[in-house]
Amino acid sequence: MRVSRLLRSVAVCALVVVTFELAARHFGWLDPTEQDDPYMGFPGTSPLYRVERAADGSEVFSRSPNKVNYRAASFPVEKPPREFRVFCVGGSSVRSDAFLAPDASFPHLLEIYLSGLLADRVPRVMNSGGGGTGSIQNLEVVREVLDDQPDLLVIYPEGGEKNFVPPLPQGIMARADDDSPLRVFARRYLARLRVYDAVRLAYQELLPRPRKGTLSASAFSALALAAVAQPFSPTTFTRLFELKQDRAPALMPHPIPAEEVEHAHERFERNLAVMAELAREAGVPILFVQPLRNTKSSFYLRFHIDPSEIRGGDVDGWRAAYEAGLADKRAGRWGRAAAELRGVRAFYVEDRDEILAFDIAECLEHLGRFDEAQAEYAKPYLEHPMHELISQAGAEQGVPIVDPFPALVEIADHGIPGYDLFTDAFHPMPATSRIIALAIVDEVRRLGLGGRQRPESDAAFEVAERQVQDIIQRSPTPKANLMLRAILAGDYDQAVRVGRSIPEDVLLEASLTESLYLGWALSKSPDLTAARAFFARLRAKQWKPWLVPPKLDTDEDMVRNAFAGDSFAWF
Amino acid sequence: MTDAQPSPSPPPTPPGAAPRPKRRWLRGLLREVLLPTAVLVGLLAIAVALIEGPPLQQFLYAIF
Repeated sequence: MRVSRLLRSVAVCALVVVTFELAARHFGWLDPTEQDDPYMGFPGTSPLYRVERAADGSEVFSRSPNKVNYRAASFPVEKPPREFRVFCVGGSSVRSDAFLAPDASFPHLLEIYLSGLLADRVPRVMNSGGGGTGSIQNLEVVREVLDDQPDLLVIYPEGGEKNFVPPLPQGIMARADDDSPLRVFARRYLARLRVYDAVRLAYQELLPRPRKGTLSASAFSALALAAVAQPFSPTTFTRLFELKQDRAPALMPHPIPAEEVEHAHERFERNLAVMAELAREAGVPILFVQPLRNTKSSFYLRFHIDPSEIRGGDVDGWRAAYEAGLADKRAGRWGRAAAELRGVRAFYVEDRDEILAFDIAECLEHLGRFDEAQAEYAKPYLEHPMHELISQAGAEQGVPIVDPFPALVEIADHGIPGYDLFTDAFHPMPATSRIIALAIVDEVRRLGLGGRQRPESDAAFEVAERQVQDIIQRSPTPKANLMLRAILAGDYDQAVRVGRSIPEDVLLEASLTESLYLGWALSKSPDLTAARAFFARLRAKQWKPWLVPPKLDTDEDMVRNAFAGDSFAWF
Repeated sequence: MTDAQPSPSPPPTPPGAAPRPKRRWLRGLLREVLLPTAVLVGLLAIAVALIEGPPLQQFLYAIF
């Protein structure tokens, strides 16, 4: 009697769940592809591509409406027989949102080059790069697109990993997921149910709202917030950008605990390994690409030294040697400065001083010793821990590593890739995306993928190259890049002209980077009237009384609160 | 002595009053549908709290 009642209750529950689930799907309630993603792309996230019906009635995959940090895309669910389908997975360098029209991202250029290479297949390269994503989100995308009949996966693992450090929200979630793999497993499956979604939403309504405005993931937004919270001063705009210019790094304990860095590195390598294993199981070739960086950008270079890094604790000797070298550099005594700054290295147990290499490189470049300068500029990039981790993951998993850096050096002025090849510290200009695409094509050729391949001398390559060059020519240089290059060249008037060409309401509302560069350029004028007036308008637009500005009073504060603990040095 | 007592019968409806409605269907609905559904929602809520909320040990620590 009791058993039959229990069975009846279970049947009723199942009926309720099934009825709700069917009704929700039929009427489009709680569609996870249309709501804000509660999991920030982590396991349990809604699919990046959802099935829709095209105008001709066929089924196509379209980028889900809530995945706005990825490029819009549409491709047939049923792969045409001759199609060679490639997914390029990564972050903002893959997405390349500064070059949307014409599409000058490396996945698109890769598609053009592959059309020259492959004789019998029609390449379709999907841009699956999402702004601000790291290996956790990349892995979820890989899991998904392996079901979409790929012929090749290209992984471009870049700086999004820095967001996985607590107390950033993704860092908290990443740590909680690492501590409870069972929760990740359950979420991955249960989050597909609308009934689960309904209960989750109700649960979240009951939780206290997180405070907003206390955490800032970007140095630019931290500076802007701190700047508009205080009265104007001559250094309001300049201090962030000139913080590291000819100055010794702060002597302070590592702001990010070593255990946290190690944990995040292990996770990164594990995620790359899982991507490789999943691809191997599915029989899909996979490539890892070494992400590129602007070697002439000092903005995100590490600007602190832990006292334990100084040999024998000789802090005074270290500081004196550093200051002597910087004094000569400021005075333009380049040869002496380079020699003295190189001498600073003797004070380190192991030299990981990125800003020191940059200072030495600048001296050598002034002396015209370009080969040596190139080596110094490239040192922080080539010795970066992620570089080594990617190589290691590739070697352990038998995944080919594509390294576009040597080819980039070949096209760079004096062999030093700088702001003419990158929009900022990381994001590639179209010419750099071309180099990445060509490096991948070389690997596709070497691996013999995609069936019959045309020889390099084939006319189809010329056609592809012309198409790519046309895209590069038609891609306007981002204004932020033009402004920064003008400022670095000392042409402040030009930077102001470019900044003023942006409508001011757009500038103050939506173009934070350009606003700060304009403030910086205006602050270089002996008369600060224009800078002060611009600050007043920026403050009127951006300042809200409930915002909590980060503390940026000292160099240590800047490292901790503007540069997220120098997280770019590790990730 | 062993005679069973007659079970108490409901009081007779006063003459002219409307007959008392039978509530058996309501009780049945409560017992057979709403109760299991409430239990199901409760279980789902616990599952959501365990999966989405803070780790269990942290949760228990906060309570005790």
